[in-house]
Amino acid sequence: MPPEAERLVVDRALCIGSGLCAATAPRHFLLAADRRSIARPDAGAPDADAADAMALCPVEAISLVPGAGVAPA
Amino acid sequence: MEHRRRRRTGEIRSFPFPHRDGLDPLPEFARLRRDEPVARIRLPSGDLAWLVTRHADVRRVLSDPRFSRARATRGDGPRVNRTTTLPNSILAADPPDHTRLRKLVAPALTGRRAEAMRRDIAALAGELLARLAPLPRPADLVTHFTRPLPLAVICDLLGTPRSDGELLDGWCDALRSVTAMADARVMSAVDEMTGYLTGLLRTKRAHPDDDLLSALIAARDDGDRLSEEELLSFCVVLLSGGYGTTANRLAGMVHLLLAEPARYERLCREPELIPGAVEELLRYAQSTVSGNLRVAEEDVALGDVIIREGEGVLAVLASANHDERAFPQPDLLDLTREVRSHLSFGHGAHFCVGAQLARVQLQEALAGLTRAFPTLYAAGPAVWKRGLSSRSPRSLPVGW
Repeated sequence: MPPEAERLVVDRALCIGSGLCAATAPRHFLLAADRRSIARPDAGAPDADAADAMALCPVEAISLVPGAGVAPA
Repeated sequence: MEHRRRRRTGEIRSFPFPHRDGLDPLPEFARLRRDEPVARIRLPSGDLAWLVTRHADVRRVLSDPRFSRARATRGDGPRVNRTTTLPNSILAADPPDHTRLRKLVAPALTGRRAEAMRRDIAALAGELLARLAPLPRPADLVTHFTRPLPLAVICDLLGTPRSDGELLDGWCDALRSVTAMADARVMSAVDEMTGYLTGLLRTKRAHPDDDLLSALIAARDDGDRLSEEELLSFCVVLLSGGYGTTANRLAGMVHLLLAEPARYERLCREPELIPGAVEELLRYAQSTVSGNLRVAEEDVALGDVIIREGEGVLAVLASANHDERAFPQPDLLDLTREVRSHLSFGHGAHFCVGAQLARVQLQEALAGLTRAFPTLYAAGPAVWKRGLSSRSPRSLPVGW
C-alpha cells in the first residue's frame, strides 16, 4: 500500500453490474439496488482482494483516489 | 435458528426438457418460475439437482461463493453427465484459483480493448459480406457470416490460424452436449481438440508473437502462474467461448430479426438502435437453456428450499431473462427496451470474460449486415442444433 491513504471508487457510469468485484472482494464492494457496484465506505484500506477486483473489472470502472474514510462514491 | 421448512416438491422432473426449435420462451420454465422456482430435477447422469429459474435466485446462485463450480467438476458429487470435461479450466475453478487464472486474460478483454478492436471487426464484417453478395441465393448465413466473423476475431486475438473453423465447430458443439452425443464421443472430441491445441502451442512456443496465446505461454513458462493442463484448458475455453458462443448468438439474433421482418427493417432504418437492440436480443433469445452445475458447500436457503451441502444446483440464465419479476412483458421482443440486467453473460466471478468483445462483435455484425443487405429475408426455415446446453441455428438460409 502506498504511504498516503487511498480509497476505492467505482465509476457508476461505466459499471455494467457484472458482479465480479463483489465476488472477488466482498469486503470492499457491494451491488446496490440499481444492480451497479459501489465501494463500501466502511471497508477499510484497500487490500490484495481489492487490487484483484480492480484488475478484473471488465470495464475498468474501479480506481483508487487519495483520501480515506466515508465519502460518497 | 430460523426455522425453514423444505418446500414439498410435487415431482422430480427429467432434465433437460424436450427440445424445441427456435429461441422463443419455453413454457416449462414459465410454469416453474410461477409454481416451483427451485425444483427437483434428474440430470442425464441420473443424479438429482435443483433447477433454479427466477432472476433473483439465478443471480444469487451465480454470486454466492457457497455454490462451488470446483465441487461440480472434481471429486464425488452430482454431475450433469457422467464424464466431466475440462476439470482444470477457469470455468471449473473457484476463487482464489479462478482469480489467478482470470487475471491472466482479463487485461486483453476489457471494454477499452474491445473498443480498440471495433474498427478492425467492422472491416472484417464488411469483407465477409462483400464476399457473400455475389453468391447464389439462397445462401447460408451461418457458413458465410455468423461463423467466420467470430472465428477470425478470436483467432486473431489468440494468434492462431483462422482456417480450422470446421474442426472447431464440431468440437465446440461436443463441449456443449447435454444429450446430443454419448459421453464417449464428447471425450474423444475433447481429446482431439486438446491434440490440435497442443500442436498450436508447440508452434507458438517456437515463434511467440504479440498475442494472447503467447502471453499465456509466457505465464506458464516464465512466471509458473499456470500449469500445462490449465494452459490447454484455457485455450479450449477461449476458443469455444470466443468462437462458438458468439457465432451461435449472432446466428440466433439474425434469426429473430428475420422472423418478424419489421424488426430487421427497423434496424436498417434506425441503426442507432443497434447497441440497445443487441442487449434486448441477448435477453430475449432463450439460448442457454441448461447451465453449469454448481454444488453447495454448506446448507443454503434459496426461496422456500434448503439446498443441502453436496447437492447440485443448475441456474438457468435463459429463464432468468424472462422472469416477469425482473422484466415487464418479458415475452415481448422490444428492440427499444432499456435492458440493464439480463444474465446472458452470467454474473459474479464467472461473468463472461469476453462479454465486452462479444458486444462489439454483435453490434458491428448487425450494423454491417443491415447496411449491406437491407432487403435480407429468411429464405426457408432454419435448421436447429439439438441436445446442447444452448439452442442455436445450424444453418440460416437467406435471400436478398
